[in-house]
Amino acid sequence: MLRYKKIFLGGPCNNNCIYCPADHKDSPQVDFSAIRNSLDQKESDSVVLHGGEPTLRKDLPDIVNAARDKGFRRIKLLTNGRAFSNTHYLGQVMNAGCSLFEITLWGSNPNLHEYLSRAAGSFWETITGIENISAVPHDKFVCLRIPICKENLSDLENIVITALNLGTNRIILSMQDPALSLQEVLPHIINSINISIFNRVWILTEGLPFCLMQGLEQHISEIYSGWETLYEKMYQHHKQCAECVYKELCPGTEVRYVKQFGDREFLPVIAGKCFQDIKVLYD
Amino acid sequence: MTKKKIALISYNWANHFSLALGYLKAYALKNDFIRQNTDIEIIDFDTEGLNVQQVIYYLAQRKPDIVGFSSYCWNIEKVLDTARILKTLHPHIKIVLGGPEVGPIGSKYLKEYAFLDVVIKGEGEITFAELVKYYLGQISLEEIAGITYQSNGQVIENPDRLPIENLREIPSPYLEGILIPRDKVTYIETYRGCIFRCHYCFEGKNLPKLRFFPDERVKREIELVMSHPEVKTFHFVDTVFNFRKDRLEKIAGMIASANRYGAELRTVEIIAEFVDMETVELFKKAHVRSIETGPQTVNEDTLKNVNRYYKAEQFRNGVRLLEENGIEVTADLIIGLPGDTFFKFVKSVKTLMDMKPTTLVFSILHVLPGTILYEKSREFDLKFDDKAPHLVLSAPDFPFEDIDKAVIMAFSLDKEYNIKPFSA
Repeated sequence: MLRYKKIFLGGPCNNNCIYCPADHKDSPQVDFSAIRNSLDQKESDSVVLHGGEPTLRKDLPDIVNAARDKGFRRIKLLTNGRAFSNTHYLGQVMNAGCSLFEITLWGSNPNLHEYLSRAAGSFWETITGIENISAVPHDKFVCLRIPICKENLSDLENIVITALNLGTNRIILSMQDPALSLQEVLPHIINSINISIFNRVWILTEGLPFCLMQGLEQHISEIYSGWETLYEKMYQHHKQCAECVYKELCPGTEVRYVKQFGDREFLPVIAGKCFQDIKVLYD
Repeated sequence: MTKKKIALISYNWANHFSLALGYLKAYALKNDFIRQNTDIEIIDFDTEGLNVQQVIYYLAQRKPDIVGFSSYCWNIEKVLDTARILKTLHPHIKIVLGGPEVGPIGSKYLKEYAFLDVVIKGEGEITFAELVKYYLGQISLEEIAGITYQSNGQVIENPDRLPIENLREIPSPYLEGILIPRDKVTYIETYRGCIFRCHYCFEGKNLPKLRFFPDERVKREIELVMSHPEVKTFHFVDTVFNFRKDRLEKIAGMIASANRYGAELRTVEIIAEFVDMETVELFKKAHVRSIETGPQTVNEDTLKNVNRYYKAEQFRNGVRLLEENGIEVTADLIIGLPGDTFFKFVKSVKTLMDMKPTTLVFSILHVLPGTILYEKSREFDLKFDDKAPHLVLSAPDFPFEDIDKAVIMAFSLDKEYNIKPFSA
């Protein structure tokens, strides 16, 4: 629900994720002075720094420090968390003013995580990084982002349990693989939501349309933060959408998905119980 | 006559002390007979820090004849545990409960917990003093208005007592030396009652008429509190600190002239809609560092259901003026109000976040005894836990699962929104 100003720090990354959504992998690190200039345009009191992998920049503590000096109240880092396996480095970044972390976890075990991140040793570095953040005795916020793809679907509930055991404050389940049937994903999403809520941790989904999330609308992240993501996705409405009450609020389905599976599984929502209340949020 | 030993006990949070018990003692000691024939001790226990066994051990050394407890929804469980064990060990000790948790439903408590002797309802100063006179053999229980009590296996409820008309009758526990001001936990009360009648709140319904402590006494209390160099921050318990500008001006003047050590006022309750630039200047004069305000919800139907005052634009403007002038704003939202739904609650959160108050506080509705919501719970089809702290369980459009999810979401948002970055 909080609006974050987004600042891109550069493309380089020490993971090489199969489903990396970034289309700027090859773009160089952004110049520090350009970043500082972006920080001057202060349309929000919260900023999110993303890449590539921001922790690969030697000047990351300086960037965080600059954001703090510019008066940003919340400085969030989108990261794979590996660098925070080094507590000294974590201390530097947190002392500079970064207290919010959004970390990606691909699997509940090294084999799966590293198969998808294509980076040997990345699993334990990420896990240790999250553990180190959790162990810091100061205020911090950790959100674990779990991208969903065909390779990790059967492990999804285990990944959620791993995230819960790491003391996360929020979980985001994010559809990454357009070659994965949403009908196949849905039972795992429902299980994951139930596991997380049972354990009193807030959980959101990303990339799942309203028609598939009926009864679980509270967990649709786009209601709170819009459909615009860091990495551009192309959505399309299909003919059933014309009858759906959510047609103005929902961008439809990813174009790549419809090409693969068609649109037969998407049935229009005729009378959504919470539609009016949700619509007001968009107004 | 041997002096009666009276222990007045309060279980508090975070090292606070009980102003209410200070009033009880100050008023009772006005009476010569009570002063000569009793020893009244106020004992503040920390709810978290001490277990009941420690309290029982402590009391066993003091050997009180009468034990009074200040009861709120957050401490009643410990109060009942202590009272039960105390009565089992020392059946002669009289157990008296007062406070907003028990007063409105005294009969219920006395029927359910036979080890309780008397429950005081409403303002307790006069009633408690009369009760002490009863225990000293001066009057009978039947004569005391505002009590419910056990009598030969029956629970008797006497007529209510009207609130004290003239607060001048209650001596100041600070000026009498009964309470000693301490940093962060000292409260001053300048009036009782509330200009509003919110249905979830005890204050407006039960103490509808505003009654003021004399200005001169308030001034002397402020001077006393601020004469302690170690008191860096203190508070006012007034329901709405800024309900009238001329009064705010008077209080701000008293604080400004007494403030020799630069003490600050923290977390005074205000109505943001009443804030203009002049109010901000008065707050600054009074060294107000932080304020707390509603709106609890921004949804029209819900506001109407709970009779809550909220003017969107004035509220927004008030928050902006305060924040721009360096006064921290804590804005409160309640989960589970009748008329709200999960997404209506989200709308309130979004609205408040857009205003950028320093802190957002989320709480779940407590359907408190003595409030209109408690009485009208059937009308609203509001289900709540009969056991304190009386948390709401469901409302017609806000089922249990949604309330539960709203609480979990709020917990996560609270962490994110209110984060305080570490600075080395």
